[in-house]
Amino acid sequence: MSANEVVIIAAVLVFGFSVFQWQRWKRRTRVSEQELKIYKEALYALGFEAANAANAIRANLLGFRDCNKQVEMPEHLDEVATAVQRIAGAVKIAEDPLAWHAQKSKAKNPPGGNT
Amino acid sequence: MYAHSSAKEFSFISSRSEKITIALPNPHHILETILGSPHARRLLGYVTIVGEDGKCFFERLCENYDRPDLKGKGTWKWKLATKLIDLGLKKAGLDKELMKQKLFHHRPTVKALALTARSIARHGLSAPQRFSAPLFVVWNFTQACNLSCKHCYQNATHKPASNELTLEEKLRVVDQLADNFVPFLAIAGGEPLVSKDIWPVLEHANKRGIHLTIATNGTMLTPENVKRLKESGVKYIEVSVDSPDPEEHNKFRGVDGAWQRAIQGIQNSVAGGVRTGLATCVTQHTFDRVDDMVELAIRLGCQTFSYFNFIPVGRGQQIVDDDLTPGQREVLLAKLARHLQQGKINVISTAPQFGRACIVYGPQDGIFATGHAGGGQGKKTMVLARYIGGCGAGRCYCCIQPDGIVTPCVYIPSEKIGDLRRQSLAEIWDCELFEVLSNREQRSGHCRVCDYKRYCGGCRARALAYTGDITASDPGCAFNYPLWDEINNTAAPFLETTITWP
Repeated sequence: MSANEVVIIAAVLVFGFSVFQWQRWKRRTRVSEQELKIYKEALYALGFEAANAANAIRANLLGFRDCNKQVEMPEHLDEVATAVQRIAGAVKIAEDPLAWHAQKSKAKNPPGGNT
Repeated sequence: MYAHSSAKEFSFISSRSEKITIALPNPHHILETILGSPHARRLLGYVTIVGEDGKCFFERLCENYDRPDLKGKGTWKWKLATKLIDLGLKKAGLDKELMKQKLFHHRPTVKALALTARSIARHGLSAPQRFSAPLFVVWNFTQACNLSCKHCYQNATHKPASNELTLEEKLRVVDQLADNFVPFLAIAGGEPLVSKDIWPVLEHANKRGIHLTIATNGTMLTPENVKRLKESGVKYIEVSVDSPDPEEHNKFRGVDGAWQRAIQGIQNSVAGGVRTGLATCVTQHTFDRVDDMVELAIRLGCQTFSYFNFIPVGRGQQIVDDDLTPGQREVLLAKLARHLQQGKINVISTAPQFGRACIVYGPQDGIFATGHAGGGQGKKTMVLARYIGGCGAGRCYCCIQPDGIVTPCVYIPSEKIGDLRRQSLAEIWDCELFEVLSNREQRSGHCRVCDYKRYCGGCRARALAYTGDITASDPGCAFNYPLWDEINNTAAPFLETTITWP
């Protein structure tokens, strides 16, 4: 095998490897993009379902309270209202995860540092 | 502030605006970005300029799409346009014949699209969309009715009013509607079928390309009348039935045998091959029978069930205690949203909260109601509902009274905006009150801060009837319970007075 042939084979191998890697990265990027799209859609669905469920609970809680003014343990209803408040917090996270992450990081590492 | 003077004592009610709802993520569609641009607005303005033939370019384009019979000078440009449209349809994967039948050669749809394009060109893309003319008009054709219903918003009598429009004036009104691109007209009453003018008016409106529907008590829906209505171009007949129990219905309607005749009317309409709906005004007496009513509608072969929101106006003021509480209405709307999702029957409602209820109680990819424009499935419909959903009074809908007076809604007879005997529809439509009604930021109480305001907006008629302020919160909504409680603890509902707008 002449030196020229070795160079050509090596060049072809390098080229082939590069193409293979390029295709691999392309495929990975495509998969990541698809996954990101799915995550975004899932977050949207999460926000949508949670917000509407919480609003449905609030609307019916108001109606229930009005019909049953002499509820025996109104504390239960207060607990439900508090739980709905937590769902509202979850909806906010789903709405803008980046803002939630930034806020969390900020809380962990305040500008002046932890004392 | 749009409030009656005697409603000042209620002003404290409107000041409450504690936010109860949680913000939900809003879906976005690429068309929103495109139509929102100033270039698109200019283009839409250009294609909707009305020419000498009374038609705009968009109408001519649709009319001449795929017409092999076209001959003469200038034919080549329509043929070229047809080729380009075909290319677009192919790319979008849409069926050409279906699109031709349902869109390009369907005059009311073309009119509706032309009106929407004109509205965006004039007012910009806004959520909800303000229209440059009504998309939908309800015409209370006559004051006369053969029944005496307890809840009649029209205060209908057994004889027509002395000042009702003459046939000639009625035909002129139809021309005005057609000239202003109004695509949908619903004839109501009184009982429209007692008027002999109904037939020439329907035929004329049909000739002018308006989509026609009729709301009747059903007592005069004989097979002959159904046939004639169908021939006159009526596409949908809605019959009012208040209860599955004949006695209850007859008591409410004030005439023995009214239930049997209404049911026979529905059967005749279904047998005549006209799309038929059963309409019910739900009150305290019939709240528990709603599922039975839906079942009855399905059994009779109706395609649509229509829930009418009881508003204490007209004779309804005397039975105000029969109104549902906001909690009852919430339960009712949830039930109806589930019936809609089941798909056995289409459900529509005059309660603007129904659009909100479909979102709250239905799944994300479920069926959404878009107010006056019916419903649809999935995210795209939800985007559409943001623009056309909820209360349409003075924004995309208005009412014509038997004497030609225009009001924002059939349930707001006190707000007389204009007179079609003296003014054109275009003049009347551009009024200050309609501007206020179109802007949902100009509300007070929870309706202003509600996260569903773009899909609902609250019933303006109910707000006016109960508080005397047309921009107040809707006291019929569960999110406005504090307001409902205050009204019930304060005084009787506001009694209607007449105000004429300049």
